[in-house]
Amino acid sequence: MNAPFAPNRISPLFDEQAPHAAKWTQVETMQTVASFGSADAARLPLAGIGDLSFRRRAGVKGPGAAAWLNALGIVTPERMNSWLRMDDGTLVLRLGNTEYLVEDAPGGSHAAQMNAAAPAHGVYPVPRYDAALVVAGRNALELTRQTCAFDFTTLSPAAQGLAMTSMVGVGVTAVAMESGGETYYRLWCDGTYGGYLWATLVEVASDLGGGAVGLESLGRLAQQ
Amino acid sequence: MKLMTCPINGTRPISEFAYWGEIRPAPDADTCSDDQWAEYVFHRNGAPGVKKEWWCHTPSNTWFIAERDTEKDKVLRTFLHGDDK
Repeated sequence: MNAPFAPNRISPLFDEQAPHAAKWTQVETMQTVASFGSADAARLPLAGIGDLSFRRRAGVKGPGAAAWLNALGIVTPERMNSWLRMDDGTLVLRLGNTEYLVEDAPGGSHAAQMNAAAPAHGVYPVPRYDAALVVAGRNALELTRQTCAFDFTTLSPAAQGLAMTSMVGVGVTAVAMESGGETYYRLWCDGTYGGYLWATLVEVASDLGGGAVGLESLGRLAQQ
Repeated sequence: MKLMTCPINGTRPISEFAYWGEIRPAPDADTCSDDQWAEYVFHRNGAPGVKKEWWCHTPSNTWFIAERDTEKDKVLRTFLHGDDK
């Protein structure tokens, strides 16, 4: 492991990634794997698993949550279990009826703004220590079929639906997105289960010709 | 595969759900007799029939009520608390 800096945030996947990491970087003050090796670029088109836990995120729930977020300038999805991307790249997920997960684009400040603002009546902060993954490649759908009973084909990027389901026994929030005409998936789970989810998905992905992919090879997927 | 329908998240495998028992209104602890309280705490109705039960969709932590025929193990309907019309 080579970590020539002192980050103040650690990925929930660190313990699983550290033995395999070839190169580290620091993003949003979180130590993150830049590369797992020369195979990263070849894995991504097949079944690449990437770590986007470094993104800043915050959550709130309660009957006043939507109005409170709107007052902070955060647009909220109208439908339950759906998501939207704001003009500045911020992801806003509506989990069920009155819970919201806000994930900043790189350099964004909405999460910090939410954490600093006092909750209003009927607004309850939800601490988020998620492991955030991206699953991409032409075998990504097959990977979900081997690890989850939920049919990911029902998650079209255009419809912007969201599913909370169980993947290899871990509760995950899943959405489908699109980049360059290719569908890929974003997953969020409780960080304490992240290592197990990561290790299991990477193992299944390796059977499909893919595996762990560092930030350098994720390219646009890490920016969206 | 057994399926259950969450009122918020739709139909999912039963493995995504936790069963939390029959809905049993508690007697008023300040006014009920010891026998009534003991009945509530220690006794359960094991007779098969249509019962209302607490279930939870665990990935989303959505609590809801399922009306289930325990004799036929058939879920008749599911709804959120307060939506029992």
